[in-house]
Amino acid sequence: MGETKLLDVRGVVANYDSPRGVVKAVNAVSFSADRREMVGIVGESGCGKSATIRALLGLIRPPGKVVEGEVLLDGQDLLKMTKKEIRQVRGDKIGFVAQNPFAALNPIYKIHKQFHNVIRAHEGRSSSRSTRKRAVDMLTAVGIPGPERILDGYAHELSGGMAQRVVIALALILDPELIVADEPTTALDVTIQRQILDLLRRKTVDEGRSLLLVTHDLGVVAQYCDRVVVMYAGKVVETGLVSEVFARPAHPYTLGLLQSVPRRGLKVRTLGGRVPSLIDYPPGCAFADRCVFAIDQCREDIPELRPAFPSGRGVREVRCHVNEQEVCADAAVDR
Amino acid sequence: MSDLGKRTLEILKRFLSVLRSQPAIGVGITVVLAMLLAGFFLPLPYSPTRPDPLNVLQPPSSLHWFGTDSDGFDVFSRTIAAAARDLPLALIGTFLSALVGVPLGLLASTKGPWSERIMRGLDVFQSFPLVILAIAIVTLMGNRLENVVIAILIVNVPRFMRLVRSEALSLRESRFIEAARAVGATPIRVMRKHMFPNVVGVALAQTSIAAAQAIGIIAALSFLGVGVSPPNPSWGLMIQTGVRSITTGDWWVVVFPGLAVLIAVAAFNLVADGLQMRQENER
Amino acid sequence: MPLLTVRGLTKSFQRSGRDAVHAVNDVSFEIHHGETLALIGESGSGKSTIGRLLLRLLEPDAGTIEFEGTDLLSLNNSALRAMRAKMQVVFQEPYESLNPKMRVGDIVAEPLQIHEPSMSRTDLRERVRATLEEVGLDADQAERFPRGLSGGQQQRVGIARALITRPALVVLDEPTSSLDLSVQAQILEILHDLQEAHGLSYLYISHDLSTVSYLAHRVAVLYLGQIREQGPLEAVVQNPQDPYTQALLAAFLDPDVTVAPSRSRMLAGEIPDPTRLPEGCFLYGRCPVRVDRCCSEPSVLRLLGPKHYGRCIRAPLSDEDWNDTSDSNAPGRFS
Repeated sequence: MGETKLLDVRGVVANYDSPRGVVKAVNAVSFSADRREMVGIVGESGCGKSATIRALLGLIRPPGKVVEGEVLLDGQDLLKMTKKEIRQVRGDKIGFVAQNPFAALNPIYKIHKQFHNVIRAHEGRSSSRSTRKRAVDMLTAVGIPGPERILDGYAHELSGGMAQRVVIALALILDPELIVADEPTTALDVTIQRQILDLLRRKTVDEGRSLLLVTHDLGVVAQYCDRVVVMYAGKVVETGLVSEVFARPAHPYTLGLLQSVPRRGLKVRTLGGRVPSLIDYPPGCAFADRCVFAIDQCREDIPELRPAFPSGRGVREVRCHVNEQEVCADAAVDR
Repeated sequence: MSDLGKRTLEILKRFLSVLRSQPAIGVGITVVLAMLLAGFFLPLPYSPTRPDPLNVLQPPSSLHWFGTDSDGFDVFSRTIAAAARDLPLALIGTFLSALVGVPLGLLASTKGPWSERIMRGLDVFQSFPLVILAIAIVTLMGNRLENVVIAILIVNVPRFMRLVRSEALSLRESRFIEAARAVGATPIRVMRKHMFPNVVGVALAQTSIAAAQAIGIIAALSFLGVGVSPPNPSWGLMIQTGVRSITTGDWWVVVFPGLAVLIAVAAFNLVADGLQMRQENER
Repeated sequence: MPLLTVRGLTKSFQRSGRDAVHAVNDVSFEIHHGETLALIGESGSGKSTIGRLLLRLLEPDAGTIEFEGTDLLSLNNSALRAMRAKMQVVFQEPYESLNPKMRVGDIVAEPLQIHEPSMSRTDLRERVRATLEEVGLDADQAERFPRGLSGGQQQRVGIARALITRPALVVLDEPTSSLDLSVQAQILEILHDLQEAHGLSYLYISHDLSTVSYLAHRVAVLYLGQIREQGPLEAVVQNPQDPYTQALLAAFLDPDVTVAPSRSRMLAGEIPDPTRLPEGCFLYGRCPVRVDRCCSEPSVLRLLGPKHYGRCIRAPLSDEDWNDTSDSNAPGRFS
């Protein structure tokens, strides 16, 4: 607990202007990531997890705008940086792995040129030979056989799994402290997914980096992440150690999600209703309409993010008016 | 309310919503409508077909708003009257082209050897400069109004066919088309209920573009003296007469019919733009 | 007599100027009344193609399909179309499978208009209303266009359309893959309840083990267009006899944090080129327990247990057989 956190996101608010109104895509989001930690950001579509990542990386463009908050990377606030500064940070201190590797790789350049461009953009002039050597080493480190051949080829010649490995290699080439991965394995086959996730964990947490993994897949979070951040309707609703949150969820939405996972023989518990519009934000808690634990206060006041299970392990937070003991008792029923 | 009544109300409501979303369409249609109505119903100060040989080449004045031409015709009356010829010709020709071209295009999108054969035939056909082809055909077939419409058909049917066919081909790959087959729809039903409604939007936009071009074709043809029977006015013919007068500085004879063509073409293009914007927004 | 019997189904796709892709290779299975057979596999396994071949949305190169005692392949076009009232399909992408220019009510009514053209207007409207209610949609949703509905609602429309002619068999092609977890649960519940209410048979195509576990009675594991293992769900999942099945099962990430991910049974490399299929076992190049005769001996499905078939010539494999291999022990959260 002594180290300062590598990444500290505090109260980030990002809005998008749309013809129907202002979309509060990221609505006061706070969480943190330590070194050597794999943090999973989990939520369904529209929860704001991808928008949060974009805000973090300084990729929000009009009609979107970050209006509030701080993103502290090693003490430096990324949101206050100029475009030039943030471009330096991207790549140098933060590596990004996207969902579709073929969108991340430039289709018209050979692979070695893409490594060369990245290195040159951040480190200044560098000989082709030295960048190539570094690329070969990195491709080998991410488990690509025959890296020389891959470097001389193009992105479309690769399979999905291979392409994603190349993207990971590109993300790591400048030795960043933090890797941000947005659904990196969603587009890949199941058996390849395991390989890539193992690779990500090995090259990040095991080598002293942090990994922020955005996913909708609870299984990925359960099996790979150390801590989890659960998002709903643009807000963080629960955080904590994965082993704690998944065994004893504090927030009704987390509970609902876990119960939605189909299991043979057990009737699946469905979460009724729908995600509310991010434009006409209802008064009070956004989850109240769908929540079986909702009390009157839930529809009037938006709950704050507060500590939960003070006696448990690790830092735990929940955004809920209802007592977390009540919520996690429901989880125990199914076991 | 009767079913037919409900359907009509629905169509009207959709039309109004289309207009509201893309005001350009409304503007374009209004202009064309205004010109059409003026051409048919506006009481004209002078006869468009009887010249006044005493008042030749008069510049625009309070007597003759657009002046007179070298034969003594009142340019204003003729410009307005020509709208009653040129615009309906363009509209009829274009709609007929769509009527022929759209189903043919849908047919050409079906699987089978004929589809390829039709398209190759079309390639050969379209390799000729079509306006010249149109002129040639009309000249050979006779100087009648119907042949002008045929000329427009010659130019536009291939374009409609290509456009509709390419749209239909990409539609065929859609999941909902596959779903329609899976549900047991016959190929005719698929074409009628699933392909056609999804192709109409594109076809409508193309219709408007074609109408704009048709004005140009008609003007070009009557400029060359094809399909006209003097003294009946048409913009192209008026431009032809007017061109001779430019050298003597009598600009009004050519400018006003020229402007009329410009405005008509611009109006159709506005409608086309609006329709295309709507298509893009819906995607 | 089974509802559906498939024997020796084979399909290749010829691409101009390139080698043919052998998508489905001699596949045989049966589906009985009221049961769900799941086809599980990764990309290139041929599972979606099999679904389409069954419905004759694609024509097979070889094989027989017998549905309710009728040879489907011998039917002419109009007889086939009439048969479609009894075998329907729900597609993966909810929005793509609905005509954007048609109202929901018309979409659902269309199968009845085709197969029962003499039905009166009022009866038709009533059937549509009743079917919409069965899938949890209000009658007034019938007036809306697909783009006004959420993903879950759109999929319900797809299910209603498939059900309205009271088919005996429904092919479900990854019906929940594009949906959020909570929505997925709702759809699974609907499918489950409808099967019980109407005695429907399902061919459930998926790559996701958790949804398969929820709905399937029997499962067939596909790899490169071939069934590697087939049998009752419990038997295959608890006692898998094929190395590919084992790898696939091991690759699934269970959201249950008390379950450690299996680190062994991983396959090397990636899914090979479907244009060049090997002589012997298709798994040979990647299999951790292969022996020499695997690449020459043709593999067939053999009976290994009650209604449980497997293709591996070394089955049943003991733990020693597995320990003899060198499996990649990638470190992860649990080691």
